[in-house]
Amino acid sequence: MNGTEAQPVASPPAAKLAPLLEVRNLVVSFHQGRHVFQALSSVSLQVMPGETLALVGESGAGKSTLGRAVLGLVPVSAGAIVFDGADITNAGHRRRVELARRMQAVFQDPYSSLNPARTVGSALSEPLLVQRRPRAEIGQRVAAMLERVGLPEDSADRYPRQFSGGQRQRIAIARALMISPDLVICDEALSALDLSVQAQIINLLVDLRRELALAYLFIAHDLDVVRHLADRVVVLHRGVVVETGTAAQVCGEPTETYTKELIAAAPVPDPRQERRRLVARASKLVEPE
Amino acid sequence: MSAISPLQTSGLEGPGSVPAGATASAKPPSLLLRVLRRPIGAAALIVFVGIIVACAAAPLLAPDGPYASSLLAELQGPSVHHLLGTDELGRDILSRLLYGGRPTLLAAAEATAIAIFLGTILGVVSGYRRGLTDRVVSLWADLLLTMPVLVVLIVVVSVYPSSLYPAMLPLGLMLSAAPIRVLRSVTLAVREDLYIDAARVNGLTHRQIMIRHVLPRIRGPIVVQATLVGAVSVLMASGLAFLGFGVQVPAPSWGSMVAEAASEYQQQSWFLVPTGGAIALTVLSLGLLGDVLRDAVAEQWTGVAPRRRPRVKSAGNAGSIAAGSAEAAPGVTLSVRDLRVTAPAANGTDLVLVDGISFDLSAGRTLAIVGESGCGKSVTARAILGVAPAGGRISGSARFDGRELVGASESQLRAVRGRRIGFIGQDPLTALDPTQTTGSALAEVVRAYSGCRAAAARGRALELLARVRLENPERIAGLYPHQISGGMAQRVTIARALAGDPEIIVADEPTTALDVTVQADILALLVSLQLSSGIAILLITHDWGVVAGMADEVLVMYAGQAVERTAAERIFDHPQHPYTDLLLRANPQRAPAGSALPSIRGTVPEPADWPVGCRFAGRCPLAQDDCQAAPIPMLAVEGGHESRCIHADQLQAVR
Repeated sequence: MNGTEAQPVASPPAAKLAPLLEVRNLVVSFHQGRHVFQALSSVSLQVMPGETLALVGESGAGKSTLGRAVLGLVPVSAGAIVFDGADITNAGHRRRVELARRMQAVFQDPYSSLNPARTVGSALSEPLLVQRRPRAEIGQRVAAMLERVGLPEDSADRYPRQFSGGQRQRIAIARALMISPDLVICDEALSALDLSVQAQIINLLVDLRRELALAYLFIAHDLDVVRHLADRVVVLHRGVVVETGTAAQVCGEPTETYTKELIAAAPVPDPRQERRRLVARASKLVEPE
Repeated sequence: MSAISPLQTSGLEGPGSVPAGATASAKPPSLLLRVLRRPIGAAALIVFVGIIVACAAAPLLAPDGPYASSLLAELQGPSVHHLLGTDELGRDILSRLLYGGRPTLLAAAEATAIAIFLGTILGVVSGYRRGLTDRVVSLWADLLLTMPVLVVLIVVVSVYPSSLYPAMLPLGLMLSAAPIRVLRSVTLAVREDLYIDAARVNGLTHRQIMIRHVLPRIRGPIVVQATLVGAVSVLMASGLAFLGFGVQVPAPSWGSMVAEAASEYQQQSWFLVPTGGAIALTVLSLGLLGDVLRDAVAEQWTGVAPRRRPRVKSAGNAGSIAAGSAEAAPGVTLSVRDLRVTAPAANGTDLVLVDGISFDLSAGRTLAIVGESGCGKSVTARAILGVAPAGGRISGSARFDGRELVGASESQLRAVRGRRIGFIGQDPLTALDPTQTTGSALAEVVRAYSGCRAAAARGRALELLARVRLENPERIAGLYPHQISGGMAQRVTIARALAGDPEIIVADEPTTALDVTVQADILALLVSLQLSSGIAILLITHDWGVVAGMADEVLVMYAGQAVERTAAERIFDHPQHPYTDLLLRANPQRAPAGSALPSIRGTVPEPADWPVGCRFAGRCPLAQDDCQAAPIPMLAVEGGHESRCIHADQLQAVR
């Protein structure tokens, strides 16, 4: 990114604004043989422009399914997905190409999210090729984006295997930001990373949000990361929304039992407090039944 | 370091099989160069290309025309005039082989091209689209396999007797069954990769995704299939000619020449050698080329050059430990001194993965080894159990209950491994055999350890399942791993680790793959086992919260070395190494929401790039010139606290 292209700094989401993304009573079911498994049962949420909404929950809660439904990667059984006022619930291919300009994704596994047989430059140019941008523009943009996410200039000609997990996640973020989207869906984008690299990527996401007025739908299971990064939080449990609120509220004073359990289960990096909690839990197990 | 991924036979290397942090500075060499670098590849390629070029250039190379006969020199052996001898009409065999290779190889190429073209399109489309398309294509491939190839071919050559080429069309069609099935199954795997999703999000059409993403990814299997089909086609084309189909005497072809040689076998057996040899050499070189190409294509993405794997062995510790090295203090269960693990690198040198780790572990205590991936935590844990990376060596000392584990024989290690030192890994589902119920898997382990009868082992298995707090052990014992949750599966692996009543449990990231609520339960279970039976735990983790709850002592590893070691209470409040300090502060829980997190620039260097001086200096905010001058020893700070930093006193000032 160069300075002239930078968009105005995002203002805090105001109540008057229309939501950028609205999910209404979304139902997603999967058929497993004769069984029907409902991954999401009537989930509703909103992401305002420039807002970071975190979607938290344990595995199987349906948080990734929701992200994939918004991206058009899993079929929707019922309900509606509205993006910037337009219904995109079962958008066709042409509509998806238009949406790709405004909605992008960063996935969890930095190893599987880049094709090992294609160079980094070719991965980054893909979003622009689909939009039929001229070659020269694409080349410039790739170079600018690599620099912005902190990768060496010559990265474009190299293969993903020559990069570490953290660097690959930077590449995946760069790919998502190539066409200046309004919304980026981060599906567990940090959970495969080491702590120090995770901190680098969090900082990068925060900076980019400010520079580009991005909204994030941030799917995660780590409440510490969520508290740090999110404006609002939606807690999912078995395909149902159990709690919604600001990050400070949900992580600090949760009202629902499930959220409380979730927060209580996360270990804190304080040996005195954490040891006492763990030994208390353990001694319940030691006593004979 | 991540675990060594099993070699995949399909030629499709998983994208995740690279150790984290793998980097290489140079652009990978071209495919041709990578094939030539392997001796077998170079030989096979030279032979195969040589045969093709020689046949193509037959008019230039052949000493005689294909029909030039000399009735004075019939059925001769090799001579100066006729390098490969002459046939029954006195024609030069070498010349006829060169000319005869042209119709044979051209026909084989035609069949191969048809088979690979059809196989690739149908295989990729059916694997990618799945559903009805897949069922129809699979049925079609099955149908092709039931065709009697030779009968069909003979019918076709009877209709078109003058040439082999018309028969190659049905041959290519029938040979496409194998590529269809193989390429379908590799496409099914590739389709699940996330870059396919990313491409869909970007609005690529399915056709674009197949061309841009799937095809380059499955290049390896396609090439391998091409060489296999090519080899079969050469045999079939020669076979038809041998039977007299598709060639017009006296035009030469490899198959008809073998037939002629066979009929003259009584007079001149040599005749069979060059004619049969040409076919054998072509087929063999194609097969070998396929093998090498598959490896070479995979290497481009994985960066792992295949090499022979020497038997894993532990080096004797003779001479590697200074005389009089510290004996274990009383009450110490496991005493590790100067543990080193090396593994061979691609260029033949030995890489040091773990460089001189020392620690003591006493009964009922927990030592946590902390650090980023690629620092050697898991390698250390496995080395204690006598498991080295492929071709690697373990040296130093690990004394357990008075006996030395480093350099111990396999049978001595077996007496300790599992029985007295249990192991829990990160992924419980891959740690359990999917074909066995949890109960029978556990009973098998119990029997292996104690040699008791089946019924007693079964009872003990149920006891173990109850001990890891699984409700209704009898029901769980009858279930297969895929029928239970990740948390339950991890409890089963803990039960297995407990089967030998061990004194120590090595737990390598035991909760990393689990949800927080399940993690809390598993950690509580481990602590309760420790409280009730005094088990010592060696815990590998990168989660400071887990360290806080579990550890009595902490060893921080960076780039194969211990950089800090102290009591758990001290490490959180008074870290004495900048790496520990930054790693602690990078945890978002300790930072105000929305603030920039202190992060460590760069990544852990690769073992080949570890510097002489302080290994963290390149990423350290406190680094000065003297850090890089010489190796930094572990320095005592106070109260048994040790740190490998000469500027630790400046740490407080920076914070």
